[in-house]
Amino acid sequence: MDKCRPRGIALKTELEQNCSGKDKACLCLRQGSRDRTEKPATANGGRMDLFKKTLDPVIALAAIAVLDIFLFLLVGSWTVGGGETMMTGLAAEAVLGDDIDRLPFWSLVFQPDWGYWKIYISLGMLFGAFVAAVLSKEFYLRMPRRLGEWVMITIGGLLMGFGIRLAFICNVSTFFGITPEVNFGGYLAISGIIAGAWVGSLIYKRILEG
Amino acid sequence: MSPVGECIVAFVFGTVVGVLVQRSRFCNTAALRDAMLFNSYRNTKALLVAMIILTIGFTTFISIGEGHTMHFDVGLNTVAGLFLFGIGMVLAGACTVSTWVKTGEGNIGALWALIFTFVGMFLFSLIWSWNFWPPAPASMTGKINVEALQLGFSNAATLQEKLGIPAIVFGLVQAGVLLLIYRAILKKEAAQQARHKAAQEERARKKAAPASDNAAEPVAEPAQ
Repeated sequence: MDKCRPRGIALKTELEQNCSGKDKACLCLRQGSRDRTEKPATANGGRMDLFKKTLDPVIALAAIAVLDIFLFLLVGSWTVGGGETMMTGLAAEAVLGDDIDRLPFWSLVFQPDWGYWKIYISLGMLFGAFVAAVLSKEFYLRMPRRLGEWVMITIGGLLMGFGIRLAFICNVSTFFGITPEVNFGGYLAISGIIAGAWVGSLIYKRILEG
Repeated sequence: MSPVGECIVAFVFGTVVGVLVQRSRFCNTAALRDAMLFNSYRNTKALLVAMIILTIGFTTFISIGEGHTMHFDVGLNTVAGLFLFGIGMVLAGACTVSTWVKTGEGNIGALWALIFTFVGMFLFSLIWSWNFWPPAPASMTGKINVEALQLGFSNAATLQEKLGIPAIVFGLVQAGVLLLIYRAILKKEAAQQARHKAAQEERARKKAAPASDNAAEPVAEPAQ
C-alpha cells in the first residue's frame, strides 16, 4: 500500500492521462483513488506530516545512516558513550576540583575538555528531540510510578555506564561505528550486547510476571 | 577541521538525529528486546537497514582512504562491558540514544537513567585508577596482548593494507550477511501475519457476529 500512495497532484494527473491500464503505476493510482480517506501528500502536507504521524523507523534510520556517512568523512562516526564520559569528567572536575588529579583515569584516558565534539552530538539529540516533541505536542513530563521501576532504572543506568567504559564503546559505536567498518571487535561487541540483552530480557520478564 | 567546526557539525548531526529518532520512536534496546521477548521486529529491521547502508558507505570510502575509522584494541573487556551494558539497557528500558531522546521528551525516568549512567562511568574511573585495566587507548599496541586480555585491532582498512583486497569487498560480504538476516525477518513476519489471519478467520467463523476489529493489528506493539 505504501508504494501506491499518490506522490503529488501533478504526478497523478500525468498518470491519469498516460494510463494504459496494465501499468503498475496505473494500478497504484486506481487503488489510491479508491481509497478516499488517503489525502494526496503535497510538498507542504508532507512536511507537516513529520510532526503529526509517526515516522517509519526504517526511513528514519536510513536517513541517519546517510548522515552518519558524512559525519564519518568529516569528524568520525556517530557515537554517544565518549561524549557521556567527557561530561562525567567535566562534572567530576567541577565537583572535585583539583582532587580529580588523584584519579589517573581522568588524565590518562579522558582529559576533561569542553572542546570534545562527541559531547555536542548528545546535546544535539536532546535539543532535537525536545523541539520535535514540542512541535508534535508530545512533550509532557512523565515519571515512573512504582518504586520497582525506579530501582530497575537505577541499576540499569549504573550497568550501562560501567559497561560502556569497560568496553570502551557504547551500543551506538557498536552498531553504527565499528561494525560497519568491518572491525572484528564489532562482532565481539554485538555478541556481548545480544547476550546481555537476552539475560536482561529474562530478568525483565521475571519482574514483569512476578 | 577546526575544533569549533567539529563541535558545530556534531551538534547539527545530533539535532537531526534527535528529531528523526523522536518522530520514529526508534530504540536500539527495543530492536533487541522486542525481537527476543515479543517477536516484534519493527526496530530490528530499521537497525539492519541502517547497518547495511553504513557498511557499504564506510567501506567504499575506506577503500579510497577517506573517513575517520575508530582505533582501539578489542578484547575480553569489550565482550564483558557490552554484556553488562546489554543487561543494563533492558532494565533501564533505554539505550544511550533513547535516554537523551526520551529526556528531551520530558521523561524523568530516562533522565534518571542518564544520571546513573554518569555515576556508573565515574565508578568505573575509580576502579580503573586502581587496576589500570583495560589499557588506555594511548598504550594500545594493535597487536594481540595476552597479558592484558587484548585481541588487537583489525578492520576493513587494516585488512586492505595487509591483504591488498579493497575494503569494499569485505563490506559487500558483511552487507550480504545482514541482508540475509533482514530477509529472514521479513519471512518470519509474513508467516506471523498469515497465522494471525488464519486465526482471525477462524474466530470470525465461530462467531456469527461481525469480525472483531481489534485483531487487525498483527502484533501488539509494546509501549515504549
